[in-house]
Amino acid sequence: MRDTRWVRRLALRVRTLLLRDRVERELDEEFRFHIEERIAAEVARGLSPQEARRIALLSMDGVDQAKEACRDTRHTQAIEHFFRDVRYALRSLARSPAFAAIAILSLALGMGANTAIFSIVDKLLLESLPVRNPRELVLLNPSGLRNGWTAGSRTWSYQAYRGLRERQRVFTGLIAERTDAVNLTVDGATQRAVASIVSGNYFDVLGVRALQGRLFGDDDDRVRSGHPVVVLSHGFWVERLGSRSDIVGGTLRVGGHPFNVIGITERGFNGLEVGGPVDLFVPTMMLPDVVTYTKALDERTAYIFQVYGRLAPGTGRQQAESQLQPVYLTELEQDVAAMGSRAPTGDSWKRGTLRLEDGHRGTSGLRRDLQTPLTAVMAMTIVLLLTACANIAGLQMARASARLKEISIRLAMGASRGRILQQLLTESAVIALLGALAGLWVAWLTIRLLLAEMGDSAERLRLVTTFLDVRVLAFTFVFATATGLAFGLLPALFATRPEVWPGLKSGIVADVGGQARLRRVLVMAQLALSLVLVTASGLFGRTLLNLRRADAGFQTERLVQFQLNPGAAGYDRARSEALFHEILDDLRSVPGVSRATLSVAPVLDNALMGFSLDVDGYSGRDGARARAVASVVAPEYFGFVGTPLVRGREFSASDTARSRRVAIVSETFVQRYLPNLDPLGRTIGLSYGRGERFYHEIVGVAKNARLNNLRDEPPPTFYLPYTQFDVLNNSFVLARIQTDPDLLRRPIEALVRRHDPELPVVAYSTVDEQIDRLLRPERLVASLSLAFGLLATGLGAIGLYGVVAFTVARRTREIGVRMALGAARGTVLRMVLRGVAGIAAMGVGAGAILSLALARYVESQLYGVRARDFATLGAAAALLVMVALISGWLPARKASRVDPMLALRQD
Amino acid sequence: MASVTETMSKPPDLVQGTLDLLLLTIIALEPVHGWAISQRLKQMSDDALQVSDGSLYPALHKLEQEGWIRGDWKISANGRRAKFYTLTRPGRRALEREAAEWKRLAGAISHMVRLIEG
Repeated sequence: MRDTRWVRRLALRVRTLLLRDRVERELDEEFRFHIEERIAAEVARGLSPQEARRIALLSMDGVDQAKEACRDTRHTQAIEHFFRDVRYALRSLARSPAFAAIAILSLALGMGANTAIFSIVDKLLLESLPVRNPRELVLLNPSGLRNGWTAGSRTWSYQAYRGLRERQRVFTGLIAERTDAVNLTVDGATQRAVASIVSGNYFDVLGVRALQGRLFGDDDDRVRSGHPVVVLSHGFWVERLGSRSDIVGGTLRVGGHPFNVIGITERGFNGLEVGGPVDLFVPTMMLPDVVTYTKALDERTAYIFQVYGRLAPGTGRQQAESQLQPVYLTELEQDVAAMGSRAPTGDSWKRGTLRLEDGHRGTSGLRRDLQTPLTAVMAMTIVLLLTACANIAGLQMARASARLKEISIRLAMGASRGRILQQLLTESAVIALLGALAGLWVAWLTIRLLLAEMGDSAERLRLVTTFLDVRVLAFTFVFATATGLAFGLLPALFATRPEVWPGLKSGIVADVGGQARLRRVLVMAQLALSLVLVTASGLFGRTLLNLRRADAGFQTERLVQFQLNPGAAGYDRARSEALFHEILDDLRSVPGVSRATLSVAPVLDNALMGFSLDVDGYSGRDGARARAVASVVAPEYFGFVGTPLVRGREFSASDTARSRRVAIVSETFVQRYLPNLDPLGRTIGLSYGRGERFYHEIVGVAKNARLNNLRDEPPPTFYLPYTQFDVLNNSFVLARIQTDPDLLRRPIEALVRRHDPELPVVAYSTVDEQIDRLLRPERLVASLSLAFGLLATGLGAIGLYGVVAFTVARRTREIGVRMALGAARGTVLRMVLRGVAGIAAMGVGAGAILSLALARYVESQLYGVRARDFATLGAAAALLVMVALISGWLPARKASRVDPMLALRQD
Repeated sequence: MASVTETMSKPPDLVQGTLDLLLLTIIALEPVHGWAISQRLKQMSDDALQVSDGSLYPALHKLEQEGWIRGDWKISANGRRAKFYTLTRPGRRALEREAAEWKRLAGAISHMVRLIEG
């Protein structure tokens, strides 16, 4: 027989919880009925009604105890108490709206900032790639010789990768990958897209699944240019193709060549670069079709791939490294053999090692740029939260002492200390929870703001897809609870001490000094933390200003740049050059454009290519070559950008592909590689990774310009005319303008379209905007630290006001006596302010020590100002002391206005 | 007329488990409210068994929370509302079980006592 009791029991408990009032009334009514009946029976036996009533009540054994016993049988007491506490807490918060507002607001800001920063820190710095067993992945980082140029972690040639893959035994899978920007044509419209060119086993090894269609296998990667298949990423399919159902099985053009769409990846996978989401995937065999390095797959010295491996389970990293070493050396030997006469002399290259680096978080340029700033910001948000907690603790203590009488009464009437503590803690928890809920909203706003600051748009980064993921919620909840306990426990314990009982009688509570001391310490802590934040904001603000004012070495105003990619549209070299030539001419006749020139690399985008050069007149140690970055430009470039030449001449129209090869070098280049020598007339030799070297004669020396970014000292730089540079697949066009850049966009796009409708204008922006983008991390940190500094100072001011008001109220009688004995208003004011100054001095002093101690952690973030800058520290300290004095002055003024008669009469 | 002392002296309270059994048997006969239960207990046992009013209701409420009995509000004989208790089906089964157990126990004890009495 099934026992259905539990249904009934559950129903009863639910009824008790929901219809509490009705249940209580029923209990009353039941007892009343019984008593009435009893009275009736006694009266029937002959007693008087009054006597009968007395007997009846007596026989009940104490009605209240009996009722309580009935309630106990319900086993819902704990929950009922909790609900009652919550309702009580809400009511008492409603009675003190100012306190509630300040408490919830400061918590919301503190916790909201924390949640927001933590979300981003989690996604960018902590989270693993959404692949199978990410911890097994390693990035292969070789330290052997590298010729030509390498970019970031792209340190493998295709041939070396294949060699390694065949011969190695430690990985269950080895994949090669590189990312390129490509021209994508869908239904006739061309746009730029990010493509990942991957080995056939990429999806298998990573364990990525298809949402629709299928993904590559090794069979899709066997024959050169023989597999025109493409896989789309889910994000791209949703964002830019509108989730159309007909795309799989259809065709689109990548780099001008037709590709079949065979599938779409599962949601959440965006390639191996965090913050640089991939739009589509093509096999390595299609590399020559997609980007125009026609021989790239064969060149042993074209280091263009990054290689990841999945370690067999149980294989340690060091063990794998030592097992791979001989295989790696074999590849190095082949590399050297392929270099022929350009091979390095000596044997030092044989000592090259292959390091395996942690791969579970993928690679991320964004992470590299933002790791330190984000950590600094996270530290600041925690400091802010602590300040908020200290504030609320102080406020809670003040409230607790105001309710002392009420609590004493309850204790005297038999409430257990535990119950009251429970109720006070519930109150703290309610505040914390309300603060956390408001904080979630603040966090949502903050994340939107931060992502807008950090990247082109929140969606573009695909960083935070679901803001409210489980980890964030769990984090917020734990923080809220911990915070609630933190600022609730101390005041609660304090308020329920037995020594508090005498407060019932006289209203004077013993050991209030203890409470005042504690609150003073809290305020001092707040001031100290505020000083740290304000000093930080001063340092970061100055850094930002310094960077903005930094001399780029060329005129950045009224300068627009955009990119054209004829190579990606299938143009050959000659056609590209002709195109650029024509466009430059046509541009000059667009109204609003005064001059135009070319620069293959964009300015101020950390985009200059690095080369190893033979410099006539320089020999490095062990035969090492000179290293410099290259800027490939059009004639009259220097006059255009405003970088003066200190020697020699500019490039001119007569420097063509057929004339003598020339170059211009920067001052640093001369200082580094040709000191005390006349650079003009000397040659520099570079190769493009194909073995042949080209020698250019130096015909000019230019002043240093910061072409990569505003922070770093400009590296040795050399300039080549674009007619004499190997590739011209793409280039940036720079235009000096006289009107609003937005107005010029359409005319320029129309101009380009007239030459080729399938050639998009890419990355159109002013150089000022470029600088803004470059300085984004600095701006982020500066503005956040300023906001936090202000918030913390505000909270500290409120806390200080509270403490002083409390102290003054306590000493009202004393003040009255003093004034009655003749003390002037001013004396009283000075007395109180001295106390305030004392608190402020100690707080600021502690903060100064803390700031100096923490200084070295932010050193790397600063520019043009040292971390232990006393001017900034002094200014921050002065500001804080002033704020403290003002917030202390207000209650002090009230104290000095006290009527001595009233004060003396006060209890 | 009962003397005051008689009404004032408290009769011995029944052990909880036994009290539950008695309440269940009374409720099993027909739906009753608390006052009627206490009266009936006195009647049916010839005043040998009494339960103090203060213990009656907690016991009833416990039985209700356990699911053995059910409370319904109805109009009583004198026109006022009262909470009438009825046995639930699980309650009836529990009663049978407890009654059987009690009979077994009582039988064993009686047997032992008869031995002593000779």
